Amino acid sequence: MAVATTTAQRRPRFNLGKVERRNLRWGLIFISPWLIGFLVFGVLPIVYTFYLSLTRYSGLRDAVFIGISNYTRLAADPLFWKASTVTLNYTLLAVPIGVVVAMLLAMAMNQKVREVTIYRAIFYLPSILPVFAISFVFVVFLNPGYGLVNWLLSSVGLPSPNWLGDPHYTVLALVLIAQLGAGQWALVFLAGLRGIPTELYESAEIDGAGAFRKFLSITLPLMTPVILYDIIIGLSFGLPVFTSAFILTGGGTRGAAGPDNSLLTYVYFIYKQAFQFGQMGYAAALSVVLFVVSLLLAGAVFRWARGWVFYGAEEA
Amino acid sequence: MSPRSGRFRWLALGAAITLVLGACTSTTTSPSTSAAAPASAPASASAPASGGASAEPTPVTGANCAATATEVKFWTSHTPPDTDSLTNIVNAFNTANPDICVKMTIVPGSETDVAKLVTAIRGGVAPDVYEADRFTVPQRAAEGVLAELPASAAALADQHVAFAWAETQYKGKTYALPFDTDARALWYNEDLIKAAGQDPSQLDISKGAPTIATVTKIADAINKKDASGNYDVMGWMPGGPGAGGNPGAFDQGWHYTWGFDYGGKFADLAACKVTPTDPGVVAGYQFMYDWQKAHDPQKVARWVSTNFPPNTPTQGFPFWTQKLGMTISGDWQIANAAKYGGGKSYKFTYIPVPKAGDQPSTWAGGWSMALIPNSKVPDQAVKFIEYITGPDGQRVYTKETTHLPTLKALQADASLFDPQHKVFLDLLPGAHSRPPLAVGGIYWDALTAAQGSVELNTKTPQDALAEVASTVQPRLDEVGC
Amino acid sequence: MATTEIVRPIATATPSRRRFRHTLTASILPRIVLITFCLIFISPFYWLVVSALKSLQ
Repeated sequence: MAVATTTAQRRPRFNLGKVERRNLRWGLIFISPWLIGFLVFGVLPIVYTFYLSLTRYSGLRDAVFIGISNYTRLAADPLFWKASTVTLNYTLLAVPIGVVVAMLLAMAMNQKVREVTIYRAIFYLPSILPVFAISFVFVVFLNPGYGLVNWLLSSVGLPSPNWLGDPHYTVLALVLIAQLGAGQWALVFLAGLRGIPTELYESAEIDGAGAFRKFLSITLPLMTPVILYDIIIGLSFGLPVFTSAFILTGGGTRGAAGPDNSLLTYVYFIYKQAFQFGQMGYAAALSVVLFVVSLLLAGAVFRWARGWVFYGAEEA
Repeated sequence: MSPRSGRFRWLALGAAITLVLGACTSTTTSPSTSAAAPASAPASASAPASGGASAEPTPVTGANCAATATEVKFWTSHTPPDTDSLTNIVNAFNTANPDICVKMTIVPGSETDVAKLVTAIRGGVAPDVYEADRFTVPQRAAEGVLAELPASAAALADQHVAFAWAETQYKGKTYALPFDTDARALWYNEDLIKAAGQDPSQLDISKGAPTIATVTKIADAINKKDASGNYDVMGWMPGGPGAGGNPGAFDQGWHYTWGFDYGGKFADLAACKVTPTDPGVVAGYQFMYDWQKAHDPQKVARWVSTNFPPNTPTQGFPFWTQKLGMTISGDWQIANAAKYGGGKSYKFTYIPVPKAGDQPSTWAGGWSMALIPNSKVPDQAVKFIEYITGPDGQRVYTKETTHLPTLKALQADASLFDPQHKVFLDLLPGAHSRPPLAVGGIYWDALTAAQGSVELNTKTPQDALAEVASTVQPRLDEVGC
Repeated sequence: MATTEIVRPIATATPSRRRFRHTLTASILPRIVLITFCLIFISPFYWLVVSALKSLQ
């Protein structure tokens, strides 16, 4: 119960009454397990990585402090630029394609056919397969001579490339693998689709709008929050892409990651430096750079989103 | 505040803590890996490496040990058929030493990938003995992955051939004992050569080393293309790409193979420098560049990806499935030819040389057995290491897998080698070996990446090798020779 | 009585072609698209099952 104050007196922001303080204390105690877990498993490794990035460390011997020479080293390292290019290419391809595929799937799942729940289940199934399992499957599917993908492509007359052996196509192989997990996103998009009030479609139809126009002017604008969500999550899972690249290149047993290092994603590069070459300090510096770039990219996307995201119905 | 609600609070708090602790230990908030499939899987770095959910893979030996025996954990990254022979050696040791129980486990890894081992050491679940590729021993020793061996092991220096012993040393201390070695030659399928209208007797080993031009001519006759213009059968693959179209040698046509063949030197040990831009090494890379250019790198890569995808088992190797006429390979193929050759006639000769009359060259690699730091049973582990790398172990391994022993006494024992294997043995004294540098693994990977780019014709040999020097030399300067 | 008689002729005057077109767009086309997507998404499982059974032989 609030302590009596005069209305003229402004209460300082954190001046809590006794009850509120006790509630706050209990609240903190209740979330303390999670807080401790977060601090120990989340914050501490990040801080330790910042420290390691200033050392030379093999993982087993002592860490030797070397200042910022890891950072100067990475600026001059051609593989750093290669890994960054590969990862950015992948993200710039996979995120928009992922949005489009999820949207298409969601519209397919939204069809009024009787057995639609069966279709929804089938679309969702591959997204629960772990990525390394899908990657193993795709190693077989992408065989240029006998693989399913090339067989399909050549039967409709499209060129059938050497997915894993041609440096121009390897990133596309990664993007393909990622699309099998689109079912999970399609469900989110489906929820978004169903949230659009049908009256809007009805009044558009009365005004003579065709299906395409309805999509452009009603569905798309009202789905922009979900699309933004997918873009942000797509970025945060696309930048650290590793497992599919690792499996496609035979699991790190070859000297380079794919033809011409075209599958050397950024985290794969970090893995090689840390565990194959024993350069933990350098790997830590690479991780810090990834962290900073991800933050900047996410901030940029949020800024950009202000221009096109329409938070819809409430603002009528 | 009534007492009942106070008690309820404590109950709820206890339940919350249990729930959160349970969640914390089973999942970690690791970033997932694809744009559209976030999976809340445990730390993904170890998932592909271990390929399974369990922390400890099951050992393949030690089931019949006495309960009081001391357990020694031994990890190897080899695969069958080599591991079958290792199993026999381990079982023999266990029988001869009932108070020690060696449990051998096959773990993922490769010559240069020891991620599982390093994480196990940091996690406190490391093995006691590890089979390490010998040329990486100095680098692993510098990293702290291997422990120094005691004086009893170091005293075995003159029992092994000199080049093999040199690879186990780092800063004057011994970190592993050599286990086996090998040599490389040009293998050819007589039947395929005859079917292409060529005369296989040109390649007979009694005539000395053939020239690269001769071999290329025979190979080009064997090349067969299918209806869409892609290679179906290939005559030979001097370099790569390797399995699945990845950079590196298809079989044993590595950068070292051709660098040595063209008279190159890969390092200057006295000056503690790597020399990838040595003229001989550049010439070797130039050969690979030119050969690929003449045969269309895209088509070659496509043939490899189609016929030799990743994880192909030994019996699927194109040389055995009659899709490849000749290959640079090692002595271990003697055993494989018997098992998977399908009864065809396989022979071998020296690796082809650039000009007629050149000295033939080959190089020898091999593995070793090393001790892991902080082992709880170092004496028993060293006893096992000395046994398996000693005459008992090497004898069995040589006979069963047709690798070569590193013990001088065994090399002199004619009963171990059939006439075919004897040829490889005779190649050893003149064989090169990889420079024992503390950046062995890093150097190998950089050279392989360069080989890949040169073979795809996306980089010239000079540029690719200059890049190797600029990335590897600073690492060598850090650790020294 | 009179009104039903007027309504009924309009109802039965709908040609069967319009009904067929409605069926096509409302149930056949979507099903074709859905089944195509299903085949794509089921293919990894199919291959996994086939190769698992192959190694069991």
